[in-house]
Amino acid sequence: MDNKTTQDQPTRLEVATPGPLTVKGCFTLIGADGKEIHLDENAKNHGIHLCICGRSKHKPFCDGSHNKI
Amino acid sequence: MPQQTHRYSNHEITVIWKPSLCIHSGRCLDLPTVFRPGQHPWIDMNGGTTDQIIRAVLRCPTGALTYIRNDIFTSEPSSQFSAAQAPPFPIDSPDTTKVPKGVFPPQSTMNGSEIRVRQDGPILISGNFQIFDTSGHEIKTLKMVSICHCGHTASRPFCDGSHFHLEHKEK
Repeated sequence: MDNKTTQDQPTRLEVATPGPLTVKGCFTLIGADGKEIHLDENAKNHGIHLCICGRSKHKPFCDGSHNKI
Repeated sequence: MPQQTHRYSNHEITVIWKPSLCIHSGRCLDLPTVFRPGQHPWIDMNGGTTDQIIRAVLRCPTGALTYIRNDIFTSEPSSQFSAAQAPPFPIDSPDTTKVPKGVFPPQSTMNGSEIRVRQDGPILISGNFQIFDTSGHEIKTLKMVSICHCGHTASRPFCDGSHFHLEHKEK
């Protein structure tokens, strides 16, 4: 599962307006309760989407609510 | 343009806050009796011991909060100063100002980065990362950044503390 090439590269974040924040690569996600949110490595490599519009019903993840702004 | 600086003192130390460096990481809020966003003044130097305040200041990841010991000055430092009552000593004393160095959250991974969602707050990002806009242009940042999670910042995509004024509850 370890991908040395991925680990050497910086985590890539992309900010879209009004959302989401897309996070891709090697990273650890810590939730609001202070606990790690375990993610599938494939999902990390493909990119996960975090809410930055404030309206998601499934924070910290994006649920498409920014499209309704 | 000179950097805005505010001072808050007790009988032993003076905390210096530089708003332009603040990324609202919330790390000082581990001492909520002293650091009280939304209240005025937001730093209450009577709310904790000097040691507690120093430890909180040293957790600041950007140096927005620093402190100096009052006894290095020849002027009278005995009273607590608000920003409006700041004594006329130099703003920055490099030899004595305690600046946190490299105080970032412990990394649970050797490489990559940490994405930390603060309760009712921003998304803190630290470690080895790059941020881009949708045109592919890199957004230059510090080693730790605070991304708005409430949607109300006036400094998109960065947190500007607007969440302190909202009912912003994590489900």
